Amino acid sequence: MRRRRAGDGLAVDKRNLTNGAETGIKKVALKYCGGCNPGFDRVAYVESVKSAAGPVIEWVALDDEGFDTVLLICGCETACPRRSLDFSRYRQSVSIKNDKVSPRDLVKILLESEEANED
Amino acid sequence: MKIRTKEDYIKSLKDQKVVIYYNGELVEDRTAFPAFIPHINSAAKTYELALLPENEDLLTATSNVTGKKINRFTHIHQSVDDLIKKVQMLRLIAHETASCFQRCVGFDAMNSLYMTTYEIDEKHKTKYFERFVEYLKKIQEENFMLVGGMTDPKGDRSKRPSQQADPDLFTRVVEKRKDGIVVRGAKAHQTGAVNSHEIMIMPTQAMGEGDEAYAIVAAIPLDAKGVTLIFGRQTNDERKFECGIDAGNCEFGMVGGEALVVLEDVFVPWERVFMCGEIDFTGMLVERFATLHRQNYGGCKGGVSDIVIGASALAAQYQGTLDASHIKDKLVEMLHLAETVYSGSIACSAMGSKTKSGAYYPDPLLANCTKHNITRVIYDISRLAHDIGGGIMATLPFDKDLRSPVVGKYVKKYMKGVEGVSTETRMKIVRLLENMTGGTALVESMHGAGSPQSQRIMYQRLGKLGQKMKMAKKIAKIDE
Ligand SMILES: Cc1cc2nc3c(=O)[nH]c(=O)nc-3n(C[C@H](O)[C@H](O)[C@H](O)COP(=O)(O)OP(=O)(O)OC[C@H]3O[C@@H](n4cnc5c(N)ncnc54)[C@H](O)[C@@H]3O)c2cc1C
Repeated sequence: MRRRRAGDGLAVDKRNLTNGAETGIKKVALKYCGGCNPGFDRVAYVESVKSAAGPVIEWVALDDEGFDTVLLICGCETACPRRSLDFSRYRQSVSIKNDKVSPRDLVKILLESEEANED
Repeated sequence: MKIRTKEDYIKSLKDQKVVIYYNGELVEDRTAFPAFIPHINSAAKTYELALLPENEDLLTATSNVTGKKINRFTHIHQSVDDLIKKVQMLRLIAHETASCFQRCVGFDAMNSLYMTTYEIDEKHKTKYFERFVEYLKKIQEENFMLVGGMTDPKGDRSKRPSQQADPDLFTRVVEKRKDGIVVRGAKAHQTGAVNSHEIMIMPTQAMGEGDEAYAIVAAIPLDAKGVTLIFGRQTNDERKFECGIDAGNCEFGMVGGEALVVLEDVFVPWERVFMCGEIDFTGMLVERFATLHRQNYGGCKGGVSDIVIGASALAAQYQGTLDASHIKDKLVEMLHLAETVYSGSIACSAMGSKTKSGAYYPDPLLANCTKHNITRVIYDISRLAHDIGGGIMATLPFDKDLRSPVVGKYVKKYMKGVEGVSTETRMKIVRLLENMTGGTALVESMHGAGSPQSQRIMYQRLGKLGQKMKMAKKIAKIDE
């Protein structure tokens, strides 16, 4: 497992990653924490990530299939879903604990190939 | 889950005809009655948020009895994580409603019964647990809202149930039949009763010999024959009818819309009876229900306090005092108090343990400590809000005065704070603070889930005073 901590509440875990090059569209599964006392507006943040991504990302849910990457949106440092969900099942997971990473940068990270993300 | 959306929930209430009295009048349609709509809106949040991807992690769970995805308010806690999620969920919903959303009482009743019926069966070879699990499956499948009916009217509090001049002042079994039992009595202060589907009646206290008829647990649909609800009057209740600024929070209810639930010879079939005469388990059930309920208060009241703190800061900003050092310090104190009560709820959950039934249970001493803090801290937070908000909270003119063609201009002129903020905006925040920090709203913090003395009794029982004396002796090198 390669893991990169990019600071600003961002964590990236990569495994056997493929980049969806055949279609040019990447499927990303979106998962939120429950939102008990979030430090930022998670839904508004995701909306801006979605509009920064445009059509190059197809957003799906964790229950769906055929995605490489999970984007986990957590409202605070505790990042509860990391405690209760097994993220080793997914090829790559990117988690956000605040809105400091700009939506454009986040989209770039989500679209990066395995090579580009080597530590 | 049959009831999924707010619309499903309202339809289910409309379909069930319940006898409810408000201010001496019979209510025809409980879903259209102006005094109940804010309470329905609050409880509906427990359904609505479960459907949102950004909240489902807290609002839903996987049933241990069916393996299906269910609303967390019908779930039996399977881990410490579940206990913590319960508290987080309560804080989250309180941010949406700024008041009680009522569904925790039935939730706690179900969890305490799951654990306790298991242990009754173990000792008495009864079949309550099996029956209860069947009932639970139905509640999970329908996604029903349940009233947690513990508190009896109690009459003369110095006397036991069987010693009361009127034996109905504690709810009791008046007849046992082949097919079921007949129940008489009442349950007082019942949260969410007018907008629930069923009531789970439980004994109000530990019962002794001679009080067997009062050791009764049963699930009763609120439209059963003989059930009558009488809604409780609340501070400034009629302001809600105006739907204007004066209500403070007109969309959502004030506390839980409590009602007196009268049970006049109500028949309950055996499959809905989960305790009948087992006085030796009444104390355990009451203690477990109380612990599970006291666990909640740092979550919901912590969340409600977040709104009071935000409103206090806005009130200060709107009158130009937000930068004053004593105001900043008072806001810091309020933040400290809110996080203190939240910490208590998280702590008792984190220290939770597994019961024989497999269900998880919070640490009882820490849960009692949490609720005991609530009986003080919410008053302290409200006191600080009153300090910051100013006398205007007690003397503000009516919404209609603001809109009056004659005196409106005076209200706008003389009730204004800083430039750039309208008088109307200032009035809205002041009214919200008034709504949340006085009268009925405060009493809930004192008595809901038990009066302070009931928690102090738990300190005496669970506080390990003897152990503390031993530790002190050891440090002081005392051998005697
Ligand atoms: C807003 C609100 C919502 C509620 N929701 C629910 C609900 O959904 N379900 C439910 O079952 N209950 C509910 N309750 C009831 C709550 O649990 C009770 O109010 C609480 O247990 C106290 O009982 P009481 O109101 O009868 O107070 P009382 O018994 O009248 O207590 C008043 C005072 O007398 C003292 N006292 C009482 N008995 C004795 C005694 N024998 N000896 C010495 N001192 C005594 C108490 O310690 C207290 O100081 C709710 C209450 C409120 C205020």
